[in-house]
Amino acid sequence: MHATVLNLVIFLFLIVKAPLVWGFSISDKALRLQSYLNTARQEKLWNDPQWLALGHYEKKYFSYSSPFTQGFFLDADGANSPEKELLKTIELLYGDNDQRLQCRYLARAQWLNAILKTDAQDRLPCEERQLWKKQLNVKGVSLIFAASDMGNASSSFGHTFLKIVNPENAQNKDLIDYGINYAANADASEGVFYALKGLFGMYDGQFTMLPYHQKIREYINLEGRDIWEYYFNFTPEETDFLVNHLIEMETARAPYYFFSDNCSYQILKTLEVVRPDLKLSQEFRYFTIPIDTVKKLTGLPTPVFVARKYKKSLKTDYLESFAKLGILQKKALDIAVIDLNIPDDYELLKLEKAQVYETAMKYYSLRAFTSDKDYDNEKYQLFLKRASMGIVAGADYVSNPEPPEDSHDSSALYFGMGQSDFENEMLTYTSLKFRHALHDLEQQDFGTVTFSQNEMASIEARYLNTNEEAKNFHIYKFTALNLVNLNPVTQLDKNFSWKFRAELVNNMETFTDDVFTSDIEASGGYSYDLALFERTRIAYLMTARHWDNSINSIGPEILLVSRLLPNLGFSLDLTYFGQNKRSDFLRYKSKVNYTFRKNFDIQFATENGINKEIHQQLQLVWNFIL
Amino acid sequence: MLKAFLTVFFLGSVSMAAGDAGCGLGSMIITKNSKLMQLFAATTNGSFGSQTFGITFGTSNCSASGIVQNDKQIQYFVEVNQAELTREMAQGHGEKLSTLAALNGCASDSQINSFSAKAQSSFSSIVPSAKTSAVDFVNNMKSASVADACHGS
Repeated sequence: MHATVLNLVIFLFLIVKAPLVWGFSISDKALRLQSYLNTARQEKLWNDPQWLALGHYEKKYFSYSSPFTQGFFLDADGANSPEKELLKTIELLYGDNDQRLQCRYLARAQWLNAILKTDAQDRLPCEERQLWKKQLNVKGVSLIFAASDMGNASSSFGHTFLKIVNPENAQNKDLIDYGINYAANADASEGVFYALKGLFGMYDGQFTMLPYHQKIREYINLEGRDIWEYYFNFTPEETDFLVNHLIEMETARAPYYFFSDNCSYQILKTLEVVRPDLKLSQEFRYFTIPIDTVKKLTGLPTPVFVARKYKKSLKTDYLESFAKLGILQKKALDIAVIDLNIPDDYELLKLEKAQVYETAMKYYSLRAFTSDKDYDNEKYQLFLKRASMGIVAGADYVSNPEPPEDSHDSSALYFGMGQSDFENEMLTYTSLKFRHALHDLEQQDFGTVTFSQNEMASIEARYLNTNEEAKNFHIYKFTALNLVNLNPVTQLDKNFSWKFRAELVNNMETFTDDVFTSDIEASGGYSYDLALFERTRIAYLMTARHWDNSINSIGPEILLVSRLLPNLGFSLDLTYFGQNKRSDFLRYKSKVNYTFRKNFDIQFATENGINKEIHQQLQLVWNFIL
Repeated sequence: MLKAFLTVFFLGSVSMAAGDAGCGLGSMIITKNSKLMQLFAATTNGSFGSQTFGITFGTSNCSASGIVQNDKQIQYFVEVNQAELTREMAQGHGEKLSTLAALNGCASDSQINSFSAKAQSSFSSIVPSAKTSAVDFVNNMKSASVADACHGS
């Protein structure tokens, strides 16, 4: 009874009072909104670097635009107009209608609240979001770089993503932190179409979150790629702002381009949200190689990283364990892999035996991850054998490889002079070559695939010192691709090695006309490591070549590559070509690369031509980030 | 192992709605290094991921917000990493085994070492066969009281 009376009183109070209260409140609110909009217009806040960073805007001559055309902007024209987007955001976040958008756009709201000094009444607490963030408890951020696979040149560029760090996981539990990845929503099984669609931005890029152990599983186990973690010196406030921004990006979609607007590019754009003055992404507008972004970040005059950590992949782990085995252990390994047991007549110490079992276990684990067979039984038998031996101290290795950021830069200019002995006439020239990416076979190769070459998009011009009638300046060669991947055969693995080269070459026979013909060469075979100098590998290949418009050649090739000294690389390549329109041809090529300081090499190359001429060239190589 | 792992996972998640399978695990494409793909991928940066879920998508073993629930951490960690965990358990050391120890409450290095030793000596009861499921793995670990090692000094 009392309750009913009380309800009636409250009801009457609300009826009488409401128009008054609400009336003021509505007009107050509208006035405040108007003043926010006025401030924004007066101060042209849409030009603020923080606002431009929050929208992942890029400067396009006289205007700005953002690639996130879906699921992100509030104004229909927001992706092309920071101004319209800002005004629309203020209108929606602080206007009458959907204030809940403040919880969707946490970082925008946080920045606007600070810069517009918004009234406390206009701010939503967003409890649900805060609770979610509390569960994640992010207090730090790392940049994760997945390096290249030691046997797979395709991964040479690497990959980057972010890890959000919960300090409670610091003691041995950092694997349950979360990884934030920007990736194409793509299906790699589409083969050629996959590559093409990726080149032309036909896949959607989006941010995703996954437990870190699950994210790196792909790299560490399946793809054999080592992981490097770089811990940022962000303050807790900066870290919180980053998380707020990532929540904003949840439904955002942009066309994903493998070469330019890719994982690493959008990671840089995301870092600029935290520190708009970083301005790194503008240096990577057309081509973003993940390893280069790591180098830029590690090389900043004001450091952004405070710590670096290395996680080796299963493949690295296996190869290192194998390399450390003695001769008798390697024999035992052969038996262990087949019989799943080391016979007692092998006189190995307990530690040596444990090392053999562990290497065999890693071998089968790796095979299981990278082939169609599961090897469950083989692994299990070896596991039982090793487990029964108990703890053996010293069976594990700690490796300390050179960090990837210390490797040479991806693009290069070659300043050269050379001579060609042509029909008893010595022709000299100066040359200039530009290599877009990435690495020459003879260059120092830590941070990339050992004994590999990954040359993409090069152009070489030559200026001939010749008689007056001849033209002096010639574009000499375009190289689309020149790849070498020498994956060695080991005791247990019959790996395949291959080379591929596609070029357009100016044959310059008359020195007056430029006549370009295609030169395409493909090789396949096997390579072996030799115990010579620092490291040496020899490859036996079968090579097919189509060149000079109509010549088809095929024949055996021997390629020897050696690291004579840590800073001195050498290659010798002999190919015996049987040809359809010419007599047989033995081609020899050789190159020496001397690194005299980081990013600077001197190369000397010599090669014979089909008309018994000899070409020699001396080049100064300057590696840099484009 | 991989197939077994996926089978276990998918069986474990049949109750999930289509396209809503774990913290992205179900949508994960297992990439293999085929020769042909190497060549194609050599022209790309090889840096595409395959997860297709958003930041706060919710699912099995994860809270409604894409975060793995605390009481499911161990189970989830074992499901994802079972193959490598089993190997590390057999050899008695490794980063994933240390993580499992920490998830079971081990704090100091000596606790983690005794956890690893105990897990190794109980190997055949925790992993009684080559096809032991992740669920059995976790249950057997409980039966073997391996986590007791985390309560000593």
